[in-house]
Amino acid sequence: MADRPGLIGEADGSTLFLDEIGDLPEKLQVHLLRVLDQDGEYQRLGEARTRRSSFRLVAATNRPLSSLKHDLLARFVHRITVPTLDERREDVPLVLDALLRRAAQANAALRERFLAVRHGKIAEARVAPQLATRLLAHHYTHHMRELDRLLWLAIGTSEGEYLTLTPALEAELPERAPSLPQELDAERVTAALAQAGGNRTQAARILGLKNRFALLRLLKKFGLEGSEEGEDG
Amino acid sequence: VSHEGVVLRDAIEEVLAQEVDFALRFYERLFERYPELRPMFHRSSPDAQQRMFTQKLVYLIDFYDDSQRLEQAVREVASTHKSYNVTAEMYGWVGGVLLEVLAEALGPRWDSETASAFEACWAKVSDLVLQHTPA
Repeated sequence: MADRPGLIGEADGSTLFLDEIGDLPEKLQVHLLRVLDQDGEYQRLGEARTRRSSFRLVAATNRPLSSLKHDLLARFVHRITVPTLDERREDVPLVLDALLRRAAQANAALRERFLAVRHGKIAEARVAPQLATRLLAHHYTHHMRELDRLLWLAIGTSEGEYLTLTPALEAELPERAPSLPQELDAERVTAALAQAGGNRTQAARILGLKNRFALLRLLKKFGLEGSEEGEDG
Repeated sequence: VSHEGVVLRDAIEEVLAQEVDFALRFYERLFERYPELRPMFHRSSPDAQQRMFTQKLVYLIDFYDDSQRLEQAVREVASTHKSYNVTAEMYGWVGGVLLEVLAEALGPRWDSETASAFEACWAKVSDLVLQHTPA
């Protein structure tokens, strides 16, 4: 058998990143937990000798955390919940820009066509306002992959130097009424929080916001971050 | 491209090539002068808002002489602004701050020709937006 250190052996002295850990079969979760519980001790397949690997474990999943065995989940001390793209649609222009820059890294023609360059540095992406507005209002069900697909559709169907709202995109991005028709000020936000007993999810609903992340940004904007938070749903 | 279009494009390229972030400076001044406008901008994060502002400004200037494209762009903006209760008066506020920040950024390059070109540009764009704002 070839001498293969395996992922855990390779990670010795560094970080092991396991993507989509929520898809890891339960049997493998048990193996991983054993390594973690035994201070990095592991055995290679078909080998009787015990080895040790010292590594930091970082993992990601888009599944509910309940897909992990609870004792394995407990080993993850720091957890970061990243809202879906639909929950942070306000970031769509930035994400679109990043996706376009990444695509353009390997494609000079894309870079020249759709990215403005000033003093040798890439400046802004050339996106027609109609397209930017529709992308901002779109309801994303397939997250980043959906925006990436729409970007490539725009690249493939736009003419000239701007990504535009072509008929193909118009069919995918029907005009929607913006989700926030009313003006919100600090007073209304405070009142909604009071009405919801400090529950930010409920307060967001009262204000007609998409979700509590939108409310959190408002709280930050109005300097109300310290507002007492109740039991959140 | 009209002479006015060339003046606008040269000026905006010069401003955007500067180290100081023009869009950031514009929003800081706008909210300092008109704090009541701040809540209208919460649909986007400040970074995204600034990026979109620059993109729109460059687009409007690039197609300043193309009335069809300008109108298409403006129609979408008008519909969004309507939902935010943007009033005609506010276009004056925004235009005033925009010209002021542009003048500061261009310094001695902000001559009467450049000032007139931007004044005419803002008047044209805001008139178009108001024309296309749904009743």
